[in-house]
Amino acid sequence: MNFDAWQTIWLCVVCSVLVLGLDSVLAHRAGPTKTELARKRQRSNRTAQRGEGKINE
Amino acid sequence: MLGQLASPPRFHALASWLWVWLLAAGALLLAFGLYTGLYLAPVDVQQGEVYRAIYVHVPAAWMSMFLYLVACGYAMLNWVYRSDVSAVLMRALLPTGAWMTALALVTGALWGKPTWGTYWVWDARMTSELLLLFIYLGLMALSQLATDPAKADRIVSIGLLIGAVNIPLIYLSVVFWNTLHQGYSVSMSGNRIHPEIATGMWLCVLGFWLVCASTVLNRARRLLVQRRWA
Repeated sequence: MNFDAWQTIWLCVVCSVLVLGLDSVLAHRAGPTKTELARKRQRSNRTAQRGEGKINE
Repeated sequence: MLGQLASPPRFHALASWLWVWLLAAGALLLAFGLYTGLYLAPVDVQQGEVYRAIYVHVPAAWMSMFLYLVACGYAMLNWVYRSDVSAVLMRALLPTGAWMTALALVTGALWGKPTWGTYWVWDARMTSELLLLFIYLGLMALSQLATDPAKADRIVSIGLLIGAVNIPLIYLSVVFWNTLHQGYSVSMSGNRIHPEIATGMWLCVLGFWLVCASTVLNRARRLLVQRRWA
């Protein structure tokens, strides 16, 4: 497949923007933030309490 | 100041707001650099329009080597101080370095077809850059292998420092061997690029640097939370 000069340039630019964006998105999913972690803990505490029947008492 | 940054809560607090600003500044600089390079810079006498691929190829290639050297710096810090911050930064740099290496190879291949008539040759510069991609991928795989994070950090540190031999090899390959890849256009002794062409390139380099720094900080702070507080 042969691309002309401007097609090559735009292909390079689009690849770069995609790679920078994808890397940024993947970095965002590398692990939880402190807030997400706190929410998760709250949720699991509530579930555990429900399991013990404390909330329904 | 640097000692204070080794404290996980302080690093986390700093990285949590800094990454957003770095991303915004990087995106703006990159957009301005691309506009300058693609529309304002003059056409190259020898290559014509296609030379404009340098506005993304050169920043990606430089980042691939620069990020590796920064990761080596954190590997040494981690080896000496065994701090969590240096370990997560070392690990966070690897995927971004691998992406930049892959991008340099792909954009180089796309530029190579209209310029050299082929997407790939086993030229010293390109082969050593491909080797860098394999080193990055190998180190990322190594970091996942050991169940004990401290042990994995030490293994990755050693791997990074051994693999560092490849960086001067990439940089000097155009001097040591008769390569198809062109020689230095920018070096310590001077800049052989026309200032109107170079302006956009430097803006793009700075834009890439800021976006990569933002991504690495964002990844590092999340890895730090997972390691210390999860």
